[in-house]
Amino acid sequence: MISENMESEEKSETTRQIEKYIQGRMTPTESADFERVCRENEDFNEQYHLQLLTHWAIWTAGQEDQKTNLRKIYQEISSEKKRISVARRKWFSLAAVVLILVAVAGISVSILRSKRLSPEALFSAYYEVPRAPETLGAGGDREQLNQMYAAYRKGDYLRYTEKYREQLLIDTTKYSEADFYFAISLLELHAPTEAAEVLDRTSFVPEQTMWYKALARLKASDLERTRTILDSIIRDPGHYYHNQAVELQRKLP
Amino acid sequence: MRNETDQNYSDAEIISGIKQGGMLRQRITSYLYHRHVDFVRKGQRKYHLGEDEAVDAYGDAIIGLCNRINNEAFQSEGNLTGYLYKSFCNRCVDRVRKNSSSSIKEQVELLPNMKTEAKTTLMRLIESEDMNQILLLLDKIGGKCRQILVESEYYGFEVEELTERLGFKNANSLASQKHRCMSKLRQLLEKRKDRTI
Repeated sequence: MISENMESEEKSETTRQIEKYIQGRMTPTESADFERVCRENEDFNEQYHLQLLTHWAIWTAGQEDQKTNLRKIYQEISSEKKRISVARRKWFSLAAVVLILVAVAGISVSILRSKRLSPEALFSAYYEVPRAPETLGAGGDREQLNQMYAAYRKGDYLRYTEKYREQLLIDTTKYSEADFYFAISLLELHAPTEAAEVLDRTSFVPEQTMWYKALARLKASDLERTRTILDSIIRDPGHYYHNQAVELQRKLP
Repeated sequence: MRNETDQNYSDAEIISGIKQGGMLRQRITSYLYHRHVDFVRKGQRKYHLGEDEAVDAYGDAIIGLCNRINNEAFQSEGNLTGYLYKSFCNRCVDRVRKNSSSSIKEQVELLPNMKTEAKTTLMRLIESEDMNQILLLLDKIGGKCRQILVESEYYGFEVEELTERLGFKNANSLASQKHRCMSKLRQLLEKRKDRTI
């Protein structure tokens, strides 16, 4: 036991000396002695080599550990970057979905709008040919008027308009209904703007005239003036065409 | 715990922190690693390296810089970033050329507290030794022993810091344990030599 302890202490002293040399803490003389012992004593030299390898092994293991730790740090940074990238991608996807929805909504609205009736179709839906005027009693201009009305009753609107234009002597203040039916004939002959202009100056049954004037402007696709006329009708709850005007106004493109 | 990316360190603080060793050295190394991690991507592009190779080259450059600072071999005329980038590029080139011998020589040269004659002898020994076998011996001394030796000798933890970190009662018990671990490693090295003879 005592000899074991002595051997151990001797070894420790050798290790301390070797360590002192390795670390460069020996004087030049001590170093020279150390190197001489190494050359002469193989066991001592072996101990010195073992000590050097021990240092190297620990150092290399430390470097390996540090490399592993740094790789872990890199993996953490990469995962974090990926996480942020995925989060960003999620936001981009969400934004894309929102954009697509908005686009779909926009397209749907425009499709719905395009499905609204055209002015011409709306006109056809609301327009009715006013009933033909009664035959007037004989005498004076009435003969010509009766001929015109007869043509109107037959649906010969061209003849009515020709006759109307020939009868320049007709007093339109006295026979304002002739103007009204002239306008209707023009509508039938697809001249809505001229028809509306004629209705603008006639005083025949104001409520009916106003309604047909709105329809004439609608047929001419003059939506702004159509709305203005319909607004006037709608403002008067007692107007004969009030409900139809409200409905038509809502359906306007 | 403070995040490495939250704090900015100057070059002087980095150098002094690494020299101090222990926990501060680990924190500063981690900070330095985070700060220039985009080198990996640059290295991949510039030298057509795979990500793993570029990551290894970057890790080696960081470790090399720390060891150079620790060994007082770092010349601080230029800035740290410039030096690190140059060192990283050299390591990328080594990988492109599949050259690893220069790194062992550099590593031996950077060993701290070792006189030149000892380094020369060690280089000669490394050339004739199977280093993988020696590293395996370090695993045989046990996890705790390995940690004590690596953290005190490589990372430069102070005795007090390591005593607390590893949960020893006092510095003396840590010193005794470290001595036992060192002896154990030497014995294993000795036995290995006997077996090879």
